Amino acid sequence: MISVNDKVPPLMVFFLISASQIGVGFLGFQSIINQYAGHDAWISVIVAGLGVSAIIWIMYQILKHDDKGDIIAVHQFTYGKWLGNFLTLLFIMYLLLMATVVLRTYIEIIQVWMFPHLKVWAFLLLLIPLIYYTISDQFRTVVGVCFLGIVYPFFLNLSLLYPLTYAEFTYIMPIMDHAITDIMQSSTLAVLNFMGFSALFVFYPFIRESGKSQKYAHYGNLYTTVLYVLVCLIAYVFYSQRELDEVIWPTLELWKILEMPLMERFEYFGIATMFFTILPNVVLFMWAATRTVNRAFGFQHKKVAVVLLIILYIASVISTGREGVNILNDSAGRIGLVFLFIYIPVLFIIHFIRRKVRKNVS
Amino acid sequence: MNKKTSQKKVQRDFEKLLKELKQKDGFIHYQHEHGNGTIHLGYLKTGVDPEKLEKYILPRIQDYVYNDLTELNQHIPFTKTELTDDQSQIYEKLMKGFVFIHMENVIPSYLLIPLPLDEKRQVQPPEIEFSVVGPKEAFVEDIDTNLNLVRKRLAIPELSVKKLKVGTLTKTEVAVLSIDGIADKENVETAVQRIKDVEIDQVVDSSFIQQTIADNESSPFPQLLDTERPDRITSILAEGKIAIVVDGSPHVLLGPTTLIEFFSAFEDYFLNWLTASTFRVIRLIAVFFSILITPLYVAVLTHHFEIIPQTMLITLVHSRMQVPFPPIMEALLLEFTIELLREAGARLPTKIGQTIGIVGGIVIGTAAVEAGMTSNVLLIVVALAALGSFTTPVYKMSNTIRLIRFPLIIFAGIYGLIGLTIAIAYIMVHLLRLTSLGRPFFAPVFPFRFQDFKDSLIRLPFDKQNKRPFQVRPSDVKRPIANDNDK
Repeated sequence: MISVNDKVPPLMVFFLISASQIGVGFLGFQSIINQYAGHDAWISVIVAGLGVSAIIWIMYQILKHDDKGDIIAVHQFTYGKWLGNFLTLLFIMYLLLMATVVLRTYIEIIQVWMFPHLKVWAFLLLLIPLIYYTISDQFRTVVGVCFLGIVYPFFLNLSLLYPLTYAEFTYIMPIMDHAITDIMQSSTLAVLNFMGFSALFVFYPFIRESGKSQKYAHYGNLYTTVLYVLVCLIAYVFYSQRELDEVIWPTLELWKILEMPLMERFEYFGIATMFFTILPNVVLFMWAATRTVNRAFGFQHKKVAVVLLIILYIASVISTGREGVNILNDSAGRIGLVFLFIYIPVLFIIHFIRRKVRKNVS
Repeated sequence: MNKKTSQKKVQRDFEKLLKELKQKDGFIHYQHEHGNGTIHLGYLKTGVDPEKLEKYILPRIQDYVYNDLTELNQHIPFTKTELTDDQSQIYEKLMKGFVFIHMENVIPSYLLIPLPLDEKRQVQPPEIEFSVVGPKEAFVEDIDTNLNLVRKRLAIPELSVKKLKVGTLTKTEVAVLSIDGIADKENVETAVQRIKDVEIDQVVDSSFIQQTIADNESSPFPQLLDTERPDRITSILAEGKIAIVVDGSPHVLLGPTTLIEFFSAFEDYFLNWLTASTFRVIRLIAVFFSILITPLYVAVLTHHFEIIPQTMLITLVHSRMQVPFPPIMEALLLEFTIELLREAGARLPTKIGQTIGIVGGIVIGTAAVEAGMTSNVLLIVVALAALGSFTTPVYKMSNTIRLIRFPLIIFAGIYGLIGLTIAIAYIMVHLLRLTSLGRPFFAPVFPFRFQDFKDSLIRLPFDKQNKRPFQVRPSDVKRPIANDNDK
């Protein structure tokens, strides 16, 4: 059904997973996750990374045992056609919500840092055609965007080494100063920055020898975890915990202190370059949503893309102001947590039982 | 009985044809009474080599007697002669420099002898892809000469030449070249099939083929590389790519190609790999600089002047103090002026072109700054950008580079750095979608091919390049290059 030309090598799963995870959270998650664990919150990032790795393992276990290997087939097999398609519909809405959250939060950052009077509707008119242009063609294009979305902004990570010259390592001492429960609670906040890999449920059949790609998925998650831990540590040795209460976007503030002979205010370049990190997020969610509708209900891919992008446009324009964006983020976070850590294990168990039953019958 | 009537019909038809032909410009008809009847000889004066005609054809007709045309044919020292009864194609053949001989009461009744006047340019040194070192031969307009230039460099039986005819009016000869056993069969088939599918009335240059068989005709990027160097064609054939030679065009197309290949000059292979790699990197930097510098100027000065360090800000503000336009207007105006100069220079004869350069570059430039129409910083920026775009070895790609600068300037003017990033993302996605003969155009960046990087941004020594580029999917990946390290 999916032509060989449209499939991508297993290595690309690395880029797909990490590109879908790293997003706007990168710019300011440090001052959110320390709510419970304080200066030990970087350990929570590791815990969150491990948790996500476990979920990825479960997802592979589900997908591996299905011939078609995507969520539509899994849902239909597990719950039957009607209930299955209904749950698929919910999944599509989840993807759309995630796309809206990422896009809207990024625009919010632009509004706060660069253009306070930016008109969201006008800005999106430039952006939505780009998303359509990416998702309307082959999956290869989406993967390409994800690949470049990891490779190209890589130099940004190097720029974060500079603040280390002002590092106060006593800020993170003593290590493990908080209770395990605190660290766990912080990790539920940290895990919000790892979301996005749920598109794996959709692109799995597009991977050549998809069964072998599991290790790359884990490597991708590992890359994200290491990157987050490093960024988190840099922020924690640069700012004291009390300062972090004041700072909303620690990564951006860190860029601010960068000194270069030809330019100042590096965060402007940072925000602009972050676009290449945001784009894979949105594009992958939108592609996954489009593909899911196309698979489940049989509408034409390009037409579905247009309809879903109009929904994305309207949703992004409606949610105005800091309040709206916060509500969006909170609800997406909660739904995401439920989806990843409750729904997916439950799906795994039911799917497992269904498979055994089916096997016994035959 | 039957034979006689048919011969009469042929005779009638011939008289009709003769009548028609006599009205054409430059038609010459010669009649020779002969033991067995009359021999008619006809040709168009402009297209036939008179020397050959007088030397080889006329004496044979005048001095000997033949029973039929088959016998005559055996005495004529030319190949590719044709014996036919079909009158309909005679005029077309005459246009191509054939001479026809008609003999009454015999079958077949026409003999067509090719005596075309060879009007072709001599092989000359390359003008566009000139190189200081290396071979000094360039393709000419004649397809046979061009094929010969390649063949004498690749005298192997594996060199396959597939000939096709394109153009309902021009019927231009197009040859697809590849090396069997190295080139991917699918690539060759794709090219041949696409050329066959072309529906066009005229093909006067290889650019017509380049555009009609392109994967995406609306893309500003050319998807087949054109070159005038036979040595380059030889080299890419050995890499497993294919070449398309078009009659009447001194530019030969090659594919599947990649974006990066457009920035490699063939001279790179004649220099030491370190020098060549350095030049390539410089060229790529020049291209990025050329595309991005004016949009950056617009973005930063319109929206983010905070980025500029204080010392530089003074210089910039001072130079812009008198300028009444916003940066985007200023930049578009100046870019337009440069384009105007280039276009005027390109359309005028060389000698007047130089005058234009002086008038435009120096007089207008200085005057514009002094009059306060533009800042001299922008003048420097735009001039450097123009210079950068001219370092691209392939002319068509340098046009593309100049073209894509304009949308970038406009995006940068609207949303500053963010706008610029979005515009770059558009180009990026476009490049990701683009293919050349069905193979990804953005390789080896994506799909990432480490192997192919050995001859892309840089050029490693020949003994390190022991594999053919994977991008073209060669049938035989390994190159017979001895690796010093293996010994």
